[in-house]
Amino acid sequence: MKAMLLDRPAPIEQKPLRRADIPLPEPGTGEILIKVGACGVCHTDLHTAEGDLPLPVLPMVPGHQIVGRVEKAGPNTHRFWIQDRVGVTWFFAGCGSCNFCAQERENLCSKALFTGYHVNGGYAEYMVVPEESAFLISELFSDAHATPLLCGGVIGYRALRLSEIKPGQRLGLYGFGNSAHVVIQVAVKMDCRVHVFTRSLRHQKLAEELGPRGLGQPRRPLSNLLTPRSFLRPRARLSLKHCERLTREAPWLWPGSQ
Amino acid sequence: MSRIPEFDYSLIYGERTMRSVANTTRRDAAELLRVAAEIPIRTVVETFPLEEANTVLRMMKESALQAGAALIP
Repeated sequence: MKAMLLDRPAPIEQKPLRRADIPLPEPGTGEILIKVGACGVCHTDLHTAEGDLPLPVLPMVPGHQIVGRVEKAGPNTHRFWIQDRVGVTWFFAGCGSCNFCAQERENLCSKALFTGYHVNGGYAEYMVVPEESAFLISELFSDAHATPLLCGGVIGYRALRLSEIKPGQRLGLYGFGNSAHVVIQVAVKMDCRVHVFTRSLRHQKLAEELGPRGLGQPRRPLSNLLTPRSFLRPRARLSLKHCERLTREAPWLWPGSQ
Repeated sequence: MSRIPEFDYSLIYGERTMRSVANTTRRDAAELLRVAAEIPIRTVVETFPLEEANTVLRMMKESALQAGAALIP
């Protein structure tokens, strides 16, 4: 099958991804084979291609916002029919036995595997994934239009959920790209007052376009568009070393702590 | 990964909370996909042939994309 393969990371200007023909993967126990219809491009893919993240496996196929149809199911699968249209996210699999996995906080599992990072992803014609890490995609969305939901959208949604924001409260979005353009619509639906901070004129325009949608009667002009520079000007010092030491030594700051 | 810039302590004083997010859970994905269909969420996506992956990643690096981009095999 056709794939874009990363042999060795390099600055993207040097085109580190190479078109390659690689064997069609076979779904193992509990896995499904997906015929990729579209795969979103994420900033994490750029970090991967350029080697900003340590790469555990090379060569490797990046891509983790995948929409496609179930082509084949491996042994011991039961969630989908062949030809179901599903989406795959960055989260590929957890160990399944640690405390985090047991508490539905598998995102913090120290042995978690990520799509297009530890295992081949969606910059290809096909990919395999555990069926429990695939999700039905509504027919409302085309393959391509569903892709931003699967990483930028989900991580933004998680951030919104963890913020515990309530209807009527204010939300500030710093930067406005793939993630924020999904989250703003969830926040507006929740009747939150959204403020967007972005320098890009195109992004400002998109924020204004998407912001008031879904809100019948906006209570006030939705977006206060300021430059981050004018808003975030550091004046004094809080030593990063202190923060680092705290996060290393203080149990209440371990991953997942409040 | 870049370092987080310093800021004035007064920005965090007053029992303000900062928190980070790491990856996502299956529950997050299932919930967002349900909510996205209910709203329904409109996404902005430019599409490119799979072979142009290097070019699209470069466009992303140079902030030349409006929002989402997808590769079509």
